[in-house]
Amino acid sequence: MQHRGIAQSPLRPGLLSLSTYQIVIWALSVSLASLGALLLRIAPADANTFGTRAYIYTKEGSEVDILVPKLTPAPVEGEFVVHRVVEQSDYGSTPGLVQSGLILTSPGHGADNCGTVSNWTLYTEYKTKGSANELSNFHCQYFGSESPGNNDVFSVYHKTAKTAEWNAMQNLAVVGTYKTNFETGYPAVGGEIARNSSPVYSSTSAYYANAPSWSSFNEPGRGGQFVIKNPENTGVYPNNEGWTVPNPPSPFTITH
Amino acid sequence: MRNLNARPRFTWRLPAMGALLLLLLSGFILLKDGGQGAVAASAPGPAAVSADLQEVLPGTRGELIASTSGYNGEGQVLAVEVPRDLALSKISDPYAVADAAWRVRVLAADLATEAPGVTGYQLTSTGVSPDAISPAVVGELTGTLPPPDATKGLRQLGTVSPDAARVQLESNIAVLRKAASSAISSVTIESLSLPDAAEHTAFAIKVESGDVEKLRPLLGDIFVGLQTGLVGSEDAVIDGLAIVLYEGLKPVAGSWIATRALTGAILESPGFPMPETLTTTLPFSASTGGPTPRGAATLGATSEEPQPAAE
Repeated sequence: MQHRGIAQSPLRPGLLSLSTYQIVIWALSVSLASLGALLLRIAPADANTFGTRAYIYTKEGSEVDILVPKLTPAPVEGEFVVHRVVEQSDYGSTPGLVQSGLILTSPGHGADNCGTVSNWTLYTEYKTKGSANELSNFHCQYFGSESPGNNDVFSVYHKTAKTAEWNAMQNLAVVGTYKTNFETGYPAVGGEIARNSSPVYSSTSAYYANAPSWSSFNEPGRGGQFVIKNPENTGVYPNNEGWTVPNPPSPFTITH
Repeated sequence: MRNLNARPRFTWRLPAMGALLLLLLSGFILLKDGGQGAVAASAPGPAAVSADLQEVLPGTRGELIASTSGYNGEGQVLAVEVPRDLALSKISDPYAVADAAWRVRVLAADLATEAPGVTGYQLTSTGVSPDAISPAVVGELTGTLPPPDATKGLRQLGTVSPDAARVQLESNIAVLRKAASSAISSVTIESLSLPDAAEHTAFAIKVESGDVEKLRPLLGDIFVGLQTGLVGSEDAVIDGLAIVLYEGLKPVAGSWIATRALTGAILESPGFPMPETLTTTLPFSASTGGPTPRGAATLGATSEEPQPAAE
């Protein structure tokens, strides 16, 4: 598959300014340092193993470009690993969400009740936004395995204004339209390890967009494209170098 | 003596014989599929589809209709017309909706094994105003099947007889009941009547308790352990498994797995939240060669606050 990174993509966030990048890079450094220290205390083994949890400041969608990791060996027993783009309604006790990405599980530990997978597998998941009096509804689906080294594009976005429908896309194809009980939310991209004791969130960088310009984002490609890239594509879990956000394209054009 | 320089006498006949062969072959295909053409060679007809739906979800009608949506682009979807009361079901009865959706998913995915052009399922008009139908109902009963390649890894599906699968399930239930003692008042098993039943098996299990809180330490055994030898990995041997936990007559949590659709759905009631992770504690044993799942975790939400945008 053709690589669709920021530099080549027609979907790149053209409204980002250079100063924004500088602030982002500074913020990343601070975040990395503090988060790294935190993770070293919580889960030393996972501190630099994978993952980015990066927030794109738009309430109606985001897209992520993920190079499928060459991840060997499989996650240790009791874990699964995901890399995905997610939109979450809120940060209360019963948030809704919709996500699209890649998953790899250990042999005995599945995600939701979609079961275990022995290869990187395309997936979506949504959860309806609940309340104190309403039920929570999880729904997961797998869409087949993916080869390490492939470059996949994932997107979740608000299908239509004023409805609670969200589309999940994989490689520019809509694979699901989900009714989630929320119309706007917080997008994020990144990786996550979950294990049978508790989810372990790992994050190595953050990436922000210019909020006002994305406020009406409701279709794929109008926001920005995000790349999570494994250096040299040689990282091996659990001892790889981590994930990085590549430099901005050069030459870099600022448009308003 | 043969004249080797003579023009071959049967040259003109070869293409004609080939054409005749093709004609006969086409005729055979037409006879076999009732004139639907080679692409839809084994696609079941409308009557068969509706009959299948009636078996799996009584009171429901359906047909395969052309669609341009779905992961595979053009194809057919299983259009489902559910009973009026289910179409109008509000969020107060999500278990009935989830159960119906699971049955439709299982059947649609089974139909897709016969007719690879089937790419999904959707709710169709029931004579009820679309605005009156709960969005949750539409959402649950409308979906996309994975591309055919995605299910090629399910190599053990159909290799275990329905009877052997049932023995496995009853063994799992026995392990659970032994540990749960009096906390479980009854367990009932429904076997779905799927087409080609020898190769397609799905069970719906109802676990009833007088006090579900007593079962909380065993939730991993109920929702993961009961999958043992049946579903839960690429080694799944049956097409679907639904597990619903009841307190008396009231459902409090449910899990619906449709193996060929590669989907799973979970419902949890506000008064009975499920843990983020489930782990088995009991000695379930797989006699079928199927999966041996030991745990599961949600792909759920985070409580981390997002960072503000850099201005």
